[in-house]
Amino acid sequence: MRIAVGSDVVFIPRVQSLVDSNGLQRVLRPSEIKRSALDHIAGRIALKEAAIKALGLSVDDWLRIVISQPHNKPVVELLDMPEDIESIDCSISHDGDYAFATVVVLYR
Amino acid sequence: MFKTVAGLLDDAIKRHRKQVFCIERKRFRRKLWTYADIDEHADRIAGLLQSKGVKKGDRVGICAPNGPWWIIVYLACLKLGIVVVPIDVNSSEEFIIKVAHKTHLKLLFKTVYKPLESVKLETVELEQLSEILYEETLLTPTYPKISADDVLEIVFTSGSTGDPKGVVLTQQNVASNVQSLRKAWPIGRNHRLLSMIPLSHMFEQTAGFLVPFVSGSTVVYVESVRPYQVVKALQAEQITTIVTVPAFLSLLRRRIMEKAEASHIKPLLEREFKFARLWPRSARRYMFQGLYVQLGESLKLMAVGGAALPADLEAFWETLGIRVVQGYGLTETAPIATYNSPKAHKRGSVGRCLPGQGLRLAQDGEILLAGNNVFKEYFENPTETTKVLHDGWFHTGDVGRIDKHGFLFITGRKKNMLLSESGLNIYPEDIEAQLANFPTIRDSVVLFTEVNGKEQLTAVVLTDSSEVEVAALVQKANQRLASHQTIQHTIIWPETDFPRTPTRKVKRQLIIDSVQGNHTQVNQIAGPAQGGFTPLQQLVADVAGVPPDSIHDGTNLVSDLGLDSLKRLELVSKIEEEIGAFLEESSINTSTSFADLTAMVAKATRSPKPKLFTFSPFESTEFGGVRALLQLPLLGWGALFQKLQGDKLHAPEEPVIYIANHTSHFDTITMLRLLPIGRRRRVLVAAAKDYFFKNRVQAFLLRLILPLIPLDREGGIQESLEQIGGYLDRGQSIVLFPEGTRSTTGKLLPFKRGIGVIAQELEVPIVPLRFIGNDTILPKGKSWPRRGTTDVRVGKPLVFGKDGDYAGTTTELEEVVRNL
Repeated sequence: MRIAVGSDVVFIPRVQSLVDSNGLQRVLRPSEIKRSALDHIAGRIALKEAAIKALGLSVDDWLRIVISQPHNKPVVELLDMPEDIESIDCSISHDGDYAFATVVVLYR
Repeated sequence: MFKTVAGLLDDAIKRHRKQVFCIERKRFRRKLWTYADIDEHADRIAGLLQSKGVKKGDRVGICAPNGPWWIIVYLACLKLGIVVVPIDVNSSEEFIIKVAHKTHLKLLFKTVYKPLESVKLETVELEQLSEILYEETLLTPTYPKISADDVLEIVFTSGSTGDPKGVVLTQQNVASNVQSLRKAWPIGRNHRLLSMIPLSHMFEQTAGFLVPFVSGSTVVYVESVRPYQVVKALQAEQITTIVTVPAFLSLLRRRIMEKAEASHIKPLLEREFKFARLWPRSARRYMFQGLYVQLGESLKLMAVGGAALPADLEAFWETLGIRVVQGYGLTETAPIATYNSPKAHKRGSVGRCLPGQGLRLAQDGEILLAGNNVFKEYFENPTETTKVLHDGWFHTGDVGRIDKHGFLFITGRKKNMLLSESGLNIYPEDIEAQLANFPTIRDSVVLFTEVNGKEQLTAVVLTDSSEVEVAALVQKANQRLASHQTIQHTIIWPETDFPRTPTRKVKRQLIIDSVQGNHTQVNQIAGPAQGGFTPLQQLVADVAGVPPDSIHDGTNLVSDLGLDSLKRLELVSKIEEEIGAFLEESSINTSTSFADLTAMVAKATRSPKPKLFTFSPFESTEFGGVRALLQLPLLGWGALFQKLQGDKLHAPEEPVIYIANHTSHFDTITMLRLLPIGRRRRVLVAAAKDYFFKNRVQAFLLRLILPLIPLDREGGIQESLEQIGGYLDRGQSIVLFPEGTRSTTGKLLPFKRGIGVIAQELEVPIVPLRFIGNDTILPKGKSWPRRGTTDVRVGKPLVFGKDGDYAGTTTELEEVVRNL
């Protein structure tokens, strides 16, 4: 068994320039945006970046990572999940101008 | 004749009810929307609008990309007499706020990708509409009477500076234009259009949506208008017609020529071009067959408008065998005034006046237009209205001449409007006003020029400052301009002043001619070697927040400029937006220098070859019919051993995915026996590629009688999703055994998580089944069956939304099958 962790912080106002350059579509799917607000979107981006780090993925894999929210807590999954992953846990936090996320991967 | 758009569309819905109006191409599926679907959804949106208290005469905005939901919202507003305010999805937040404020929007329909936090009004996200309609109990709408003079929409001209000007169009304005255009441009059921320019523009609304809608044609909407997606759609959907702007035709031509050059066939192609013109159209199409790979074989007609179509561009496409027709019009004329039809066609002309509309020239050559299509007024701007409307004639501000056959030729554009490649209006005055903020820039003229074979927005400036200083100012101005207004190239005018009229107005046309005619004197100063910066250099500098002169070939994007992942994302998005090159984000890594990036961008502007999924003939419904007969003896043989009891399969609306537990090879026979014979030709059973398809002879024989499709257990889920999505799109149902292998214990094995992904991503109903007893008839390891009974349990079809997680959905499905 092995544990991997990844975390990321996003400065919320910076997301605006990504929105303006129509770059958001490269990162998030419509179903992943529950609330069309910058802080929420920043949190989701931080979560994906943290997952990229924890899972050792490349920066092209934004859309391979899928965030859902079946209950109140976000869930991170991969479209094609490698067999050796037991589970992925995650958490997002906001304060003021910053959004922060952590992802913990438990390998078999 | 219909006097309202509401009446026109209502009639079309009645006539074409069951037909497909549009095809929505999504990531793994394509969704077909019939006229009836569009109509029923519009009724529900109307209910939603009424429950929110929006009523006739109120204004509602739409700021979203093209697609079926845009059409549905528009139709709902139309039925209720609500005034639509279409807003370009690329507009700046500032512009959207101005428009929303000015028109007192009651509600704004928008995309989730535009947060618009500073817009203080109720918004509804288009992407969430299907869920909202599903969850909320809606009023049954009551529709008011709509009359010809009711305002249909207010269309604003874009431009982030300057005050936005709203064109007020009535029901009759648009209805009459649609009907006139239909007479001149008879498209019909056999036409398939690809939607490319924003629906917030009247040209796309009329030629790309309303005329096809009333004609019973089909429109294809793609997720993005990236060249890759466009080329893929052109081929996969057999597109016959595109409605676009001249700049797109020139982009496509450039791609074709670049490709020809790369494969060293350019001289050959040029020779072919010379004598091709003498051949009939069909022969030319045959001759240039190779080029049609990029265009899809069905493409026959391109309708362009919005800007002047250069004669050589038109000739290029005509030579290839594709008809190019162009029209002329303005938002104020709702929008099409003249049209060059395939039958009455003159090169270089914008065509003849549409039937039922008026065209004449003023004494000074200004083009005047009249008819029911001419707009009512500028929104809350009587001064501007009286400037252009006199005795029912609209003064266009454009200058032209009319030949004796009634063909109009545009000789100049008083209004100077430019059009970006993506079809956005660019008002040079807006950009010039920004530059005028800097005292050292005395005056400027903004226009398009060709730099290294690409059309670039260029500012010609009058200044005494050095190139480096000017570049810095231009960069500052760019920060305040919308992305489509960004100045990509700068030229310093070599003389002390611009040519001017006696009243000191700049003679714009002379400057344009001089610059576009590659005047040597101008060109000398223009080259980047002199200190001007390449557009890519500007872009990188913009994103990194450094002056462009600090970027050299050797500059490392990550270590020198500190581009982190978010900034890299922004950079590749901007490169796509402004240069039209699609780069993967990972192409920029710690070792990428600016020179590498330049090379990548140059390469990426050439269009990639899309991969289309090909189906085996075994997988066709036609062969399925033959196979359903061939397999009758097998099923008869099966019936000797197997007695079925329990639930019957009441055939649900197809396509669906059937999932069942798996204990025996007899499961496939059971499945086929359960289905009525008429359905057997449309069902496919997923079989492990590594098990059933290893031996090619065996696979061939098996597929003659069993509807097996190879599913790669080890392969990527993306490919499987595309493959299964393709079958579903063709109306075929799929049988899956989510345990992945046969269970030998009699207990249900854990489901593979792929089934959760499939259930959610493909948005298809899942029918759960359980077979009990097949493992006693033919257990794993045995090759001959013995008699027995199979108890069949059938569950209700389940549909999964996008909210759930894959693992949760998988567990849920597993539980459902276990408890059957």
